[in-house]
Formats: sequence, C-alpha cells, structure tokens
Amino acid sequence: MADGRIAVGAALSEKLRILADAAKYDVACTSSGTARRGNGSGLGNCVAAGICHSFSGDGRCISLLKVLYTNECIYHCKYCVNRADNDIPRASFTPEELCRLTMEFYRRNYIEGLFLSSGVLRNPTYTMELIFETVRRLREDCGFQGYIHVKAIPGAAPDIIERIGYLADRMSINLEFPTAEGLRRLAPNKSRALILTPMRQIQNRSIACREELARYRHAPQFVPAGQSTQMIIGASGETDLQIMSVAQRLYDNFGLKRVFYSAYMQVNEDRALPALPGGPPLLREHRLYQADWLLRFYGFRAEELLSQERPDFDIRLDPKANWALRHLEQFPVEVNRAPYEMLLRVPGIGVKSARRIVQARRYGAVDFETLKRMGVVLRRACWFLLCRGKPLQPLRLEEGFLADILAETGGRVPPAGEERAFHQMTLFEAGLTLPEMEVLYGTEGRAVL
Amino acid sequence: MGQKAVLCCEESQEGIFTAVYDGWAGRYGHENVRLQVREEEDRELFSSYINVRTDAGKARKVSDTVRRRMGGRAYLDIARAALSWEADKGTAIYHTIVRGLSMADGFRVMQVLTDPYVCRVSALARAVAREADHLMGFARFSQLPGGVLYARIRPRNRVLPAIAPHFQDRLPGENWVIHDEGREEAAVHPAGGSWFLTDMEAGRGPDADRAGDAEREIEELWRGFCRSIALQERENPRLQAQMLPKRFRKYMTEF
Ligand code: SF4
Repeated sequence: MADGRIAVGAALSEKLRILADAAKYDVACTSSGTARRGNGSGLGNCVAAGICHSFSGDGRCISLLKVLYTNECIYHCKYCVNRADNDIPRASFTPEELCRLTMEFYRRNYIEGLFLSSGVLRNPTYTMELIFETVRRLREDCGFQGYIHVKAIPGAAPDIIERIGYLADRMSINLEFPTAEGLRRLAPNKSRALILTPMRQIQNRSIACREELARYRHAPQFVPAGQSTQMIIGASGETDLQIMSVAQRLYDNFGLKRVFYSAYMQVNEDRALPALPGGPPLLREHRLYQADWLLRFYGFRAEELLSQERPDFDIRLDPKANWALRHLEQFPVEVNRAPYEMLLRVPGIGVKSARRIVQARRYGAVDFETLKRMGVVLRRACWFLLCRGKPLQPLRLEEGFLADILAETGGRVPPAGEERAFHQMTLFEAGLTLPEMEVLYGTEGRAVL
Repeated sequence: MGQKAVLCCEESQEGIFTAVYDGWAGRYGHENVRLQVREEEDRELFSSYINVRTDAGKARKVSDTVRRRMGGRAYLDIARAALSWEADKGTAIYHTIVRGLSMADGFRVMQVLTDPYVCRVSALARAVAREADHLMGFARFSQLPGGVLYARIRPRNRVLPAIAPHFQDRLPGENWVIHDEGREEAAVHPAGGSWFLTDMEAGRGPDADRAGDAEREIEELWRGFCRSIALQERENPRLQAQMLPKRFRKYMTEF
C-alpha cells in the first residue's frame, strides 16, 4: 500500500510501533536452548533456560525484541493482517535501526536478544538478504553475543538460509496449518514443500555441524538452539489428533525443538475463514500445549492420547487426566514401588516431583505429607495413589465421578462464547504444575532451580 | 533430653556457618539446637541463648567440610538458602549439615526430602534462585551521564551475590551498579573489572533523574514496544500479575 507507507526517515518510534504490532501474532518469544558465556569484550551471553524480561498485558513472556523487518508484504495469506491487499500502515526497518534498537535495549536489560521475522518484500530471497545483513552487523560490527532468532521465509534460496544459520541461535519456519489442504486454501503463495524443504535443510546442516564440532572444537555453530515452528489452531477445521500427529512427526523426523500453537485470531473478514463468535480458541490452544508437553517430557505418544474414534480432547480435562480416565485399570499406583514412567502418568505429578519421589523413597517410605511437600498436587493425585498400601481417602475409580473432580470447572462445560473467561479463570485454579505453566508462557522447559 | 540451645548469629552465610561450628563444638545435642538469625521479641523459657561472634576461620572450616563431604550441588543449595529472607533458614541449614555429615554418602543429602530440614533448605534455595532468576530478567538499567548503567531493586531475598556474576558475564565492558535499596547495598562493576559489594544507602545511589533526553527516548521506545506487542484479544492482567508480580514493577521502565 503505497499510500500507507511510512516515509524513509520517519520516526523510529513509529516504525517500531507498526512492526512490533505486525509481529505480535507470532507466539514464540523464548530465548532458550543456547548457553554461551560472554566473550569478555563484546556485549552479551545466553542462558540455556532463557530469561523472561517482562510480561505483556496478555500475560505472555517478553524475552526478545520481536519485530518484523518489514510488513510491506506481496503475499496474500488469508489469515494475516499484513497481506498485500489490506489497507494498513506499512514500514520497513533498516539494518542500522535494528542494530541500534537491539543494542540499546539489551544493555539496559530489557531483552535477551532479537526475534526477526518478516513479510515478503519483493521476493523471499531479497528479504532474507536484508535480514542477513542485519544479523551480520549485529554479530560482527556490534559484537553482539545475545540471542538471535530468525524466521525463514519459505522459498528463499538455500544459500541465504545457510548463511543466516551460522549467525542465528534459532531459526524457525512456520508450518502455518496442520494439513496441506488447509495451507493451500489459506496461504496460496506457500506450499508444504516450500516449508518442509528448508526445515529439512536446517536439520541436515545442524546434524553435520554437530559432527564437525565433535571433531574440531572450533567448528562454527549452526543454529545451536535448534529450530521451531508454529501452527495456527482453529482456522482450517483440523482435529486435535491431526495436530498432535503432525507435531509428533516434526519432533521425530525433523528434530524440532519446539512446536508452537497459536489460537486463530480473526483479523480479516474472509469467506475462507471461520467466524469465531466465541473469540479465539484459547482453551483448545492451552490443551494442545499441555499435550505437547506430554509428548516431549512424559513419554506419551499422540496415538495413546487420541484415536480416530475420539480425535479431539475433552476440553474440560487436561490431556493427562483425559488419558488417565480412559485407562483406569492401571490405577491405583503405589507411590513407593511404581516405576518412574508410571508416576509420570498420574494426574498431579510432574517431572520434578516424580524424580523427587524416586530419589526420596530410597531413604524411607514416602507418605502423603511428603508428597505434598515435594510439590505433588494432592487434590488431583490422591485419587490415583496409594502410600504403603493406603489411599488418602476411599478411592472411587469411576470415570464419571473422577471427570467431575478433575474437570477444571468442577464439572461445568463452558457454554460457547464463555470460553475465554473460563480459560482465564481456570489456568490458575486447574492445579497446573509449574512446568506446565512455564511451557505456556514462554520459558520453555526452564528448570525450576 | 538436654536443654534447648539458641545460637544467635548474623544472618550472612559466614554468620550461620560460624554458628554451625559453635553449635557442633558446644555439644548441646543436635536435636536441641536452633539458630536465630534475627532479633526476636519473645525469648523462650528454659532455653539458653548463646551469642555467636562471626569468625571467618570457623566459617571456612564449615564450608570446606560441606563441600568435601556433601559436594558442590548441596553446597550451592545451602549457600542459596543462606541468602533467604526467612528467619528459620539458620536452623534448617544447621540440621541439613548434621544430616549430610551423618550419611555414608553425604553427596545425596539434598535428596532426603523426607527430612523436613533438608526439604526446607531445598525450598528456600529454590525461592532464592527463583527470585534471582526473576531479577536477571526484571532488573532495568538506565544510562546515566558518563555512561554508567544503574539499576535499583528491592528483592525479598539477598539476591545480589547470586545475580552479579551473571551481569558481569553479560556486560563485561560496562560500568554498572545494581542497588538493593532495601538492604542498602550495591553490586558495583567497573568496566573490564570484577564486581564487588558495597554499602549504599537508599536514595544515595547515583541520581537516576539525571539521565538525559537520549535516555528518555530509549525508554519511550521500549514502552511503545511493550504496548504494541500485547494482544488485546487475549488481555489477561491476572496472568500478567502471576508471571510478573506487582512488587517488581515499581522499578521497571515499562510500568
Ligand atoms: S507472507 Fe503471508 S503470513 Fe507472512 S506477512 Fe506476508 S501475508 Fe502475512
């Protein structure tokens, strides 16, 4: 939109407003996955667990300066506010401007680094060249050692992806939709092949690079914090099973570090897109993050959690409770004898507390009081546990009864449209363990020290 | 059962470790020992109160023993617990050390969470680490004329020794000061040098109001960014308050 374009030299604050606003729909703001000591001269280091520097009004972590390089996009992704035919203010940064913002924000401890995404200016390769120049300046001219996450644009030349990968900590390419059909319909300029090709390229280059590093300690690092991706939830009619199966394949076959889920937000009126009178499907997004956590840290498989017959989660219950209620024959579990893997499957027991139980019971029997001190959410767990053969109170291993107890409304299904308020209320009352909270709000598997 | 012994010591790690040393040497019977790290209103009857004078030599002996017999991880937990603001930290540390030294393999002491003192030390250490983590993210520097970066904090726990090494690694070439106003002390880092702790009264730090227009411009850019990045459709002040407790906000540029 030529008329909406911000003139070159316009106030930096105006550009920042436009290009941060345009980037806000990207979820990942984590700075984790790289540990890098400062080099004693430049500016910055990286902490493996990542650091959250602030939380915005929506409760999401602000860790990185998350902006688009430009929103002057030539593409027509139907769901995107920046699509070429939208009449909105447009702007582009210059590499100098981005370097200045990053360095000044970083010195004041506002941020961990830069998260640079972009619309498509002229063509993908041209845009990625501008991003490369920004990142190169930051690393080489400014001596910046902090975190850099670059989002690759599908269709950019392999050569430019590779050059950026040697400077960035993390790269990501948005999968956008769980099904190829959804992608074709809603992102006409993109295709599955255009997305998976660079994903594979980054994976292969990372593996090769790790091998080189094993041989030569000073071999250059390639995307040391790995790659991630993002899917939009609730815009293309997909099932939870389709989403989780895709996520599982990405973890298994593409070595992804993280898959992010983004509840679809209606920013454009378009017949191809669903109307969402109840607001974005935030509770569903929340359930998917919980399920993703189960895949990555609890040893669950997508096909255990969901099936063709029941392809969606019961949204009232967290996915682990969902699973437990369909496998009541495996309970109750004796805390003092159950294997670690089984402890992990008990609602209310997280990775940390399962580990603590296994360690502590070597030194004496664990009772319910100890479990509580270890951080087990007894309110949920007690229905599935025995300590030295005894339950905390008489057990009733019945699906209907337990569903009411474990449901996060006390049994009430939220009517459509009320989902949002419900979501906000329950996240905290639902007995989520802290790691579960953290995966949601940005710090990504950060160890509870 | 012997008489209760209350060892009154300074609340620093050195003070607590000296009390551990004296408590051990005093043969009061471990089950009778309690450490008091701050003035308390009421004194218990039938307890003898012993004033402990902090002694670097005794404290070093204790820390060497802890490191040797219980390992670096346990030492780190105990050292972190000693930074806690909670008054029972001394007693919990005392009995955790007793426990560790009574075990054949003291390196596993922090796993004995069935022991309430060990469990307490572990909880205190986590709380300190958590607040230190928070402040590694939430501390905000402003640049003063002359280029010094100055941050004010008011943490519950004494986190300065826990966060200063992180900032030294991150900002090696900067002159910076992090001022714990509640404790009236500051970590000071000269560019290219090593950080150190010093007393600094609240309100007596560098004058943050002297930061000039250039600084205000950067701060305004940051505030604008924070406003733009929030999704109105997902507004959730409660979640925000949970993740970023209000007590930190007073010193944060964007609030
Ligand atoms: S490429 Fe598509 S998703 Fe990206 S900015 Fe352009 S229109 Fe939006």
